[in-house]
Amino acid sequence: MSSRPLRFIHTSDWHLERPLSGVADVPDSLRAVFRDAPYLAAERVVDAALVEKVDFVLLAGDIIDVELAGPCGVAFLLRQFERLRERGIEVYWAGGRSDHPSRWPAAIALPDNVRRLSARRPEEAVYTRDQTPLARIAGLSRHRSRKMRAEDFWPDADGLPSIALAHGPVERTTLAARAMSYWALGGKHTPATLFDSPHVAHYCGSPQGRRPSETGPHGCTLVEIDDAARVRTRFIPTEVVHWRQQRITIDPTTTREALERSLVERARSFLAGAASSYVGWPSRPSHGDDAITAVTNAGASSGSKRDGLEGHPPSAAWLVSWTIAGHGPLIAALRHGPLAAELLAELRRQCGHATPVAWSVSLELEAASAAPPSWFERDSLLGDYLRSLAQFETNDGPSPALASRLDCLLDDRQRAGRAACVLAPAAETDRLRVLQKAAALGADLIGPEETLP
Amino acid sequence: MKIESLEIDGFGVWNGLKLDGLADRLTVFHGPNEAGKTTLLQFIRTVLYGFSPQRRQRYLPPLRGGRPGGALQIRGPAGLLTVTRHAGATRDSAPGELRIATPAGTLEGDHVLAGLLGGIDETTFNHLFAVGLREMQELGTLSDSAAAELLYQLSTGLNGVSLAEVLGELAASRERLLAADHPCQIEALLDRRDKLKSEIDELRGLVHRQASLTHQHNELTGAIVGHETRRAEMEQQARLIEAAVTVRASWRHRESLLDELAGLPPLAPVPPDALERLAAIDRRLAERRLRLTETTKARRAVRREIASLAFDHRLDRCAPRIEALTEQEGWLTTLEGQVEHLAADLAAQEAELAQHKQALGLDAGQSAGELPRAAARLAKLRPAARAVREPRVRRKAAQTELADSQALADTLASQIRAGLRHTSDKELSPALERAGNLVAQLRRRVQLDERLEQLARHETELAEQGRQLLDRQLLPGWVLVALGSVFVLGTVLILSTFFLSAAVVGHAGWALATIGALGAAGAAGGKFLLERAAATQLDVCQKQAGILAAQIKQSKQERDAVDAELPRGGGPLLTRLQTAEKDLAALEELLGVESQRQAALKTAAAAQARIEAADADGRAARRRWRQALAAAGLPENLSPSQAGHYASRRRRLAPLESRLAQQRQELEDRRRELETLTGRIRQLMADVGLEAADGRASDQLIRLRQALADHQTVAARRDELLQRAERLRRRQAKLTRALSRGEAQRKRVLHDAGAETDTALQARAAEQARRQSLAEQSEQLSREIAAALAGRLSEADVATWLQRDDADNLETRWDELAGQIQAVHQELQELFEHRGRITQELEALAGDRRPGERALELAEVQEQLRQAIERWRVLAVTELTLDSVRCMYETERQPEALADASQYLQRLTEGRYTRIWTPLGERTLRVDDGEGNSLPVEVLSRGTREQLFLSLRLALVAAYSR
Repeated sequence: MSSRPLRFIHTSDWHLERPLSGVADVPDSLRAVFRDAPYLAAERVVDAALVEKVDFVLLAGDIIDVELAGPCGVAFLLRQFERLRERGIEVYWAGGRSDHPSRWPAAIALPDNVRRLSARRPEEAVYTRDQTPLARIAGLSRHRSRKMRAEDFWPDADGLPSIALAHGPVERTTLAARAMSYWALGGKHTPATLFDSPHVAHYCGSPQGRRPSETGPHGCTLVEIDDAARVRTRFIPTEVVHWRQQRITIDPTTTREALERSLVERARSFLAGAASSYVGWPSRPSHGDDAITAVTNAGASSGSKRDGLEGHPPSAAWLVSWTIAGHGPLIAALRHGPLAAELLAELRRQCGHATPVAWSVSLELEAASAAPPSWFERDSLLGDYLRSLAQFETNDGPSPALASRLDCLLDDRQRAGRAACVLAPAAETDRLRVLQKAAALGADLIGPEETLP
Repeated sequence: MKIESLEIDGFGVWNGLKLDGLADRLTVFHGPNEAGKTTLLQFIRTVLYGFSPQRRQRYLPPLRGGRPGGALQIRGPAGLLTVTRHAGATRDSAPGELRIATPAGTLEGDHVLAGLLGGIDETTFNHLFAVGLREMQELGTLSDSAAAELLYQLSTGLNGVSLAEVLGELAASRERLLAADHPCQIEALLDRRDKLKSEIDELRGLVHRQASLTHQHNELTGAIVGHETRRAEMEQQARLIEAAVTVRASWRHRESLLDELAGLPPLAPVPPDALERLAAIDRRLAERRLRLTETTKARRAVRREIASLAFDHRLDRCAPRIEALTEQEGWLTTLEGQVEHLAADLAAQEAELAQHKQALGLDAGQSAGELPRAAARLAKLRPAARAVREPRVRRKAAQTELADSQALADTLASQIRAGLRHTSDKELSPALERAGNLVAQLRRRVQLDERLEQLARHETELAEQGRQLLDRQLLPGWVLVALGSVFVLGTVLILSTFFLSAAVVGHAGWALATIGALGAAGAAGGKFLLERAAATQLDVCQKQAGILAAQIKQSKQERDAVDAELPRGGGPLLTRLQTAEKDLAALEELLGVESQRQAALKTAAAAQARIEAADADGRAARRRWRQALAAAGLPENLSPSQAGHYASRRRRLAPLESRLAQQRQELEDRRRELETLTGRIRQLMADVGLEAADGRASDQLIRLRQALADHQTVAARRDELLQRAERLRRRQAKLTRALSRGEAQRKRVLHDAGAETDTALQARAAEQARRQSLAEQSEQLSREIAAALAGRLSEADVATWLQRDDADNLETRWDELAGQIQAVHQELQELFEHRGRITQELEALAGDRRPGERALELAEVQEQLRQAIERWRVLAVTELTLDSVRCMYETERQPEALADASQYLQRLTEGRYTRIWTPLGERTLRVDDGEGNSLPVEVLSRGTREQLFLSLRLALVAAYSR
C-alpha cells in the first residue's frame, strides 16, 4: 500500500430538492437562504473534498430528486461532479429513496468520474492509485421493495480494505458480523455511528439541517484508512443555516426588560460566536447562481485561507426557537397577553437583519411553566380541568383516542372531505404538545390572575 | 332568633299597638286591604335595621300620633331582649335611636343586635326572612343578596368569566379555523397547498425537457464537428487555388524575364558614378553660365540708374549753411510770435484807453492830466441820482402787481365761463336769475301736484262721507222700532189710563199716563232730532265738497299756467327739480369766483395809477439830474451809474498810458531782429537758386529745409548704387574663373570612364541599366509571390496547381469550391443557431428557481397548516375538556341550598318538578321536571314560580340556620 493513507469523503442526504422547512413565515430577506442552503452545504462538501485532496467521494443516497429539484439541481450537481473530475477525484454514488439510478435522465450524461451503483445487485470496484490497488468498494443502491442486507457485501479476499456503500436502515448486529472495514451508510439526517471497533459503521448525516428539530451538527465525514487498515473518521461541518433551540429561565423578580435584554444578548452571542469560533475556510471560485454566490461570498469573506477544516464554517443564518421556563407573573403575562409576540418582534428587529443573521423562529412557554404541576393538584375548577385532560391519554393508542374524541366536532361531510386531516393520526410528540398547549390555554382562560412585577 | 311580642308607639296607621304571645311556629295576621299588614312588616324591618329614608317618608309621622318607633321582644341564644328604636327628632336620615335591654333592664350594645341577626344584611333579611308579596315574585331579588352565593357558588374559580362565554369563544375560534359552511383558515391553506402541489407537479416536466434538450444539444454538437472538418478541408483547397490564381501572372512573367536575361551578350561595366558625376559637372557649368549673364545685366542697369539721378551740386555745397540756419528756426518762430503778440496787445490797450477817455468825456488827443479832480462835485450829484432811481423802483413794483392782478382776473373769468358753458347765458347774473326762476317754478309745480293729490283724497273722503250721511237720512230699522215701541207703549199707557177702570190701574193710572206721555213725546222728539242732525251733517258735507271742487279747479288752472311757463321735456318733475337745484347750486358757487375777479380788477386799476404817478416822478428827477451834471461841469449824457464810476476811471487812465509807451518801444526792438534774420534767409535762397517769395521768414526757411531734405535723399540713393556696382563687378570676375575649372573636371571624368564622348558613355550605361532592371523585376515578382502566399503556403504547393494542364481554368475550380464552402457554412450557421437556442434554453432552465421557490412555499404552507391543525386540536381539546368539567359540576356539585330547595319543590309540586340546579358559570336557575326536561325559570307558570321561590327561600333559611 502507498505511504499516503487512503482518504475519502462520505456524504449523503443532500436532498437538493428540499428547502428548509418548519417555519410558517419565512422573511423575505431569508427566502433565498432557505431555498439555497442545501446547495451551499453540498458545495461545501465538494470544497472539502478538493481541499483535503481525497481519493474519492462516496455518495450514500438521497442526493437529489431530479424531478422536484428541476434543471437547476441537475445543473448544479453536474457542476460539482465536474469540479471533482478536474481534480481526478472519483465519485461512487449509491441511490436512496429519491435518487434511484433509473430516475436520472438517460439523455444527461454524467461525467466519467461518476459511477452509479445498481439497485439490483451490489457492484464492486477496486480503487487504485498509481496502478496499486488500495481498496475494494462495494455499493448498492436502495431497492424500492427490498431492504438492504449485510449478506450482500463481502470483504476483499486479498485483504484490501473493504468499503460498503448503501442507503437505508440496517441492523447493527448483522453489519458487525461482516468484516467490512467501513460501512458508509446513508438515510439519516443526523450523523450516527453504529459501531467503531474493530470496524466502523457510520451514518454521515445530511450536510444541512432542514427543520427546527434538526439542531445538531451537520456536515460530511472525512475517512482515512492507513496501511494497517485502521479507520479514522473526522466530522467536517458544512451547514450554512444553524437551527438552535434556546431555553431561558426566569423567576418571579424577572422584569420584561430583563427578559428582553437576556434574549437579545443570547441571540447576539450566536453572532459573536459565529465570528470568533470560525478559524478558517478555503476560498472557492464562485458559480453562476446569483443567490448561491451571494451567500457563499458572504460566508467566505469572514475567514482567512487555511488548509485544514477545523472550527465552524461561516454561517449565513442562525434560526433560533426560544423556550421560556420558570415561574412568576411574567410567565402569566406570556401565557395571557401579546407579550410573547412583542418579544419575538423585538428579537427579530434587533438581530434578524444583520449578517450573519440570527432569526428568531418562535418564542413559547415551556409546558411545565405554562401549567405548573402543582395546579393539577388544586381543588378548583382549574384543577378539575387539568386532571380531566388525562382522558386524552388513554392507553389504547394515543392518537386514535384523541382523534375519536375530536371526531364529534365534525359533521359527516367534513369527515369525508379534506377537513378530516385534523383527525389524522398524530405523532406522540405532537399529541403531547397539543395536550400541553390545551393545559396552557385552559389556565389562561380559567386560571388565577397574576400581575406583572 | 324569635320575635315574641311587639309594641308600636307610632308607625304609619298604628298607634299604641301591642301584640303579645306570638306563636312558636307560625302566626298569621289577616285583615282587609289597607288594614296595616305591610306596615307591620315594615315596622319589624325598621326596628331591626333602622329608619330608611323611604320608610321615614312613607310611615312618619304616625297618622294617629304617638312617638315614632316602637319595640320588639326577641328571644335569642342569650335570652330575651327588648329592642327599641325610635326616630330622632332632627336627623332625618339617621337610622333612629336604638336601645337594647335585657329583662333586668341592663342596656346592651348594638353588636348584640348584629349577633342576633347572624350577620345577615338588610337586603338578605328583607328577601328571605321578611319578604313581601312582590319580592316573592322576583328571583332577581335573591341575586342581589348575599344569599345568591349559596345558590350560584358553582361559579367560583372562573374569575367572573362566564364559562358559557369561554366555551362560545373556543367554539368560535375553532370555527374560524375549520367550519363546515363558511370559508375558514384550514380550508384556505388546504386550497393553497393543493395548488402548490399541482404547480410542482407541472414543474416536474422541466427535467425531461432538460434531458431532451441536452440530447439535441449533443447531436447538434456532433453534426457541427463533422461539418467543420469538411469545411476546413475545402477551405484549405480553396486557399491553394486562390493563391495559385493570385500569383499565376507574376509567376509566368518572372519565368519570361529569367529567360530573357539568360540570352543577353557580355558587357564592359561602367563605373558606377561616372554618369552621375558627368551630369553633375554639366549642371554646375550651366548654372554658372547663367549666373554670369545675370550679373552682367545687373551691372549695366546700375550704371544707367546712377546716370539718371538729378544730383544738385549747389545745394550740396550750401547744405552746412542751411543746416545752421535751420538750427535758428525756433528762435525765428518765437520772434515772429512776439512781434505779432506785442502788436495786438498794443492795439487792445489803445482801444481801452480810447474808451476810458470817451467815458471821461476827453478827446483822443487829450491826456488824463487834463481832467479836473471831481470828487466834491460827485458828492453833490448823489441826491439827484437817488431821485432818479426811486420812481423807477416804484414803477417796477406797480407793474408786477398789475400783471398779477390781471392774470388772476383772467383765470377767474375763465372759471366763470367754464361754469356757464352749459347755460345759454354769457353772464353769471342772468344765468343765476334764470336758474332760480326755474327752480321756483318746478317747486311750485310739485307743490301743486301734491296739493291736487291731497284735495282729490279729501274729495273722495267727502264723497264717501256724503253717501253715508245720505244713507243716514233714513233712520235705521232698529231705531225706528225702538222709538216706535216707546211711542206705542207710551200711547198705550195713556190710553189705558183713560179707558181702563180705576180698579184695574188704581192710583197709578195718572202716573202711568204721564210716563206714557213722556215716552211718546220722547220717541217723537228723538226721531225729529236724529233726522235733523243727519240733514245738517249732509248739508255741511255738500258745502265742503263744493269748496273743495273750486279749490281743485283753481289748482289745476295754476298747474297749467306753470306748465306753460316751464320748458318742454326733461323727464319727471322730481328729476327735473333735482337737476335744476343742482345747476342753481353750481351757479351760486360761481358767485364767490365773480367777487374775487372783481377784486382783482380793482387791484389792477390801482397798480396802473401808481405806474403813471411813477412815470411823472421819473421825468422830473431826470430833469433835475441833467441840471446837476451841468452844474458839476460834467457831460449831460452821463448817467448816474457812469457818474458813480468816474473817479475810478480817472485813477486808472495814467498807468495805462505809461504802459502803452513801453510796449511800443519793445515792439520796435523785436521787429529789427526779425529783419536781420529775414535778410540772411533771402541771401541763402538766392545762393541755392531758389526764388524768394513774400511772406514770413519762417516759411522761407522751411522751403530751404525741405529742399535740403530732398537733396539728401537723392545723395543717399546715389551712394547705394555705387556700392552695388562694385559688388557686381567682383562677382563677374569670380564666375569667369569657376567656368574654367568646370571644363577641366569634365574632361577628366570622360577620360576615367574610357569614353571618348559623353554620348558613348551614356549608351553603355543604358544597356547596363536595362539588364539591371530585368533582374530587379524578377526579384520583385518573387517577393510578390511570397507575399501572396503569406507564409502559409509554399511555392511548391502552388507550383503543383500552376504546372497542371488546366492551370488556366483554376478560377472555375475555385468557384466550385467556394459554392460548396458556402453551402457548408450555411448549414453550420443553422446548426450553430439551433444549438445556441438550445443552449440558451438550457441555461434558462438551469437558472429557473421555480421548483425551489415552490417547494419553499409549500413547506411554508404545510407548516402553517400544521400549526392551524394543531391550534384546532388544542381548541377542540380545551373545549371538550371544559365541557366535560361543566357537565360534572352541573350534575355532581350543585349547591346544598339548591338540593334542599329541590326537595321543597318536589314536595310542594307533589313530584311534578324534581330538581333545581344552576349551570356552571352562570347566575341562572333551571328546573328539571319529572320527565327529565330541563326548563328555565321564565317558562314556568306563575304558581310554579311562586312555589319555586318559596322553596328557594325555605332552603336558604335552612342554610342560614345551619
